[in-house]
Amino acid sequence: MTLARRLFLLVGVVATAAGFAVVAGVSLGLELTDIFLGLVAALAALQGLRYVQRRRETPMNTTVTGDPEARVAVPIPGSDFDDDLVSAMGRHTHWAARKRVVDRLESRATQALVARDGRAPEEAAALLDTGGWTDDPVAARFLGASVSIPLRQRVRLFLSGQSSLTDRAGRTVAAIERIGTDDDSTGERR
Amino acid sequence: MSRGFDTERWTGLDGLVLVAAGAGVFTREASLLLAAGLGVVVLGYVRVAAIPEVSLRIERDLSDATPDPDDEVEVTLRVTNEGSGTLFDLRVVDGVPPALGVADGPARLGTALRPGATATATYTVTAVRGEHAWDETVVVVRDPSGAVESRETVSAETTLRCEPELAATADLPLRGLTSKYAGRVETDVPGSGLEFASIREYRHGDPIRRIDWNRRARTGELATVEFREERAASVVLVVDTRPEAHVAPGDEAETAVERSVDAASVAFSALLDSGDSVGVAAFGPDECWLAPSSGADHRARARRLFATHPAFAPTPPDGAFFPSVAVRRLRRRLASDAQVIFCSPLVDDYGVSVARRLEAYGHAVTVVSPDPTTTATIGARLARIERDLRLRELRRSGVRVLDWGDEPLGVALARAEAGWSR
Amino acid sequence: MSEITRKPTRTGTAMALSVAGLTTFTLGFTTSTAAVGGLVATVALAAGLFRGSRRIVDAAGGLFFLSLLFAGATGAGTEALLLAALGSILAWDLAENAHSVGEHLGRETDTLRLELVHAAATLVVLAVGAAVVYGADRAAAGGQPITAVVLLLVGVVALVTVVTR
Repeated sequence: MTLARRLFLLVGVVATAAGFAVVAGVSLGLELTDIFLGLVAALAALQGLRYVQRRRETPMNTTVTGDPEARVAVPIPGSDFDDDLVSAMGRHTHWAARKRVVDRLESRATQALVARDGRAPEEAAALLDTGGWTDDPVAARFLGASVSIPLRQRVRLFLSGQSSLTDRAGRTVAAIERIGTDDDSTGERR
Repeated sequence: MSRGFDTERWTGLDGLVLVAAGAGVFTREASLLLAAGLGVVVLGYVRVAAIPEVSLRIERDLSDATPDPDDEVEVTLRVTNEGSGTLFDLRVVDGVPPALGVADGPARLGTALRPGATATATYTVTAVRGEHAWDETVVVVRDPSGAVESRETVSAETTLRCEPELAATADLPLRGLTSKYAGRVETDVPGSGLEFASIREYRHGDPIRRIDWNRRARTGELATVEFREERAASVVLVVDTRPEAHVAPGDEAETAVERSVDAASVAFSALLDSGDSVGVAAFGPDECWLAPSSGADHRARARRLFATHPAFAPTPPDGAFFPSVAVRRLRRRLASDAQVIFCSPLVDDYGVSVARRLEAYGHAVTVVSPDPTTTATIGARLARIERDLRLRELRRSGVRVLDWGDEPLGVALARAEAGWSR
Repeated sequence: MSEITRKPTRTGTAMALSVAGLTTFTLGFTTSTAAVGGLVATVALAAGLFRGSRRIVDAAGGLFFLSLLFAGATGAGTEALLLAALGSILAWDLAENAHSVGEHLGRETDTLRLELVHAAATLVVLAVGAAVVYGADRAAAGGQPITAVVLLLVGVVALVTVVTR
């Protein structure tokens, strides 16, 4: 016990004893004014509020129990790409992640054009540059082609709120899925 | 009183007591002072809070300690207070093995326990292949006011062993996996085959059947006939157990590694039945190698290996892994004419390069690839495209690929065989 | 089943809200403002329990305290106020415990015995405490001089400071 604690204990015991003595009718010759009373009350309330405030600053201490009932969690394939998409929209890792997203989609589009559509690698690269690999101007633009999006579609995109990076990446993935399936006419679906 | 830690649960009550008392003095209302007095009593209660010495014994009973896969096993957890004090607030979380999922009822228990009393919790787990040991049980003890808490662990050894039979699944046309290279491999080593090779002088211990009795009659010498030795094709099942292969299409779904091990164990049995000499290897941080062989003992060894070897555990490994070292080691172990069946989900490019390198070294490679991809997210759809591109690349370079989706393995194999035998 | 529901338990929620309702009822015997305060506090407690927010549960406790303070300052009867104080502390304690048990064991676990024992322990301590305080007040009945009150307050402040860890 520290010295301060002992002192408080002493004061506490003495004051409580004196209080009970007064209750019992013993006169200790103490006179108390209203001002003194108010002062004591204010001090008590002030100290009290400080203690209450301490609760807000003190985090609860408790054991955290795990989830042994669940099987060990393994990722689903492609979760790394989803993570990249999230951090591409974050503040700090913005550019690096965005580049990873675009680079990965670009190389998959090229591979798909070669493997599924039977194009030569140079031909595939040229198609990506011109945007001729897909009917979806959003996907074409996302992989670097300077295709203009028709005004009507642009308004529709704006209204449907599909202009975020995630939506553009999603449309690009859909466009790559369609490579080599002879189903190139669905550029404006959704 | 030194046991446990302060939860800070009642922090701030002292402040409220002071505020109430101050208000009581200021307004000269006795009732507020009484309320403050009640608060002081609670503070005293919190102050004396303590946890008795915790001494618990736990026991666990399994309704079946050696179940078949997908069987539901009922687990009964019994917690007994062996200490001398009552535990007013006892919270128990059992250490269910990470690879097992609880099908019914939480593996938890909350109660108050007198000395000598026992509390019971029952829950059900779904068995999956493997040897699963229970982790230690976490116990949270609090004093009745909740001001002091203590975390303890208790353990009781319990193991659930699920070793599926390596049943000869007759409906699987697995012979096709090696049919492209089928046939016995004939060697130039003299031994005990069918085709005549040479005659040499008799050595002690040669079988009487192989003594050349004509020569004995003619010349009186003992000689032994030797035939060309015949060796069955050896097939090695390589399972991709790298951390990358531990993926699944959903939280409760089978992981790609579990399906790969399934495929390998089915193939093992079928190939062994058709007379091949079969070996097993894991391509991952945990090393595992069973040299090609045959026979009942070998089958039992493989069964145990698939079920209990840590390399084939359904939980992702955490050791360091150097894939190029592992490829070299695998190559050294493979006989030059060994065929390889590589079970891998092919969710990254390295799986492809392993298959291509083994093929390039002259082994006939067949890839059995369980498909773990979904269309749930953009990334998942991209992963499905990427895997499709990898399968195409492998097929183009001459590797046979079995793309195994949700259908039974036999169905996938029959479909793939139709393509192979074109 | 994969993960437990880490929300305040139903048993604890039911007990805490019942006690909060009774407390509000008791506050009704003081002043109408305090009763309204108690009602708001009960609603806040319910919100905190359904949302699973410890902060809202604490805020509900604070609202109960303010209602008590108001009732006391406007001359509430000693018995009603003491009873309401008992109820407020019990309601908050049960709610917080329901939260804690829910976090550790989830709603799926049978925690009836655990929570009943906890409620009983707190109730016994509060009842004994209230009886002692009330008894002391009765014993000293007859308008004790304010000097005694102040001395006792100083004593309480000092002792609380010692007791506080």
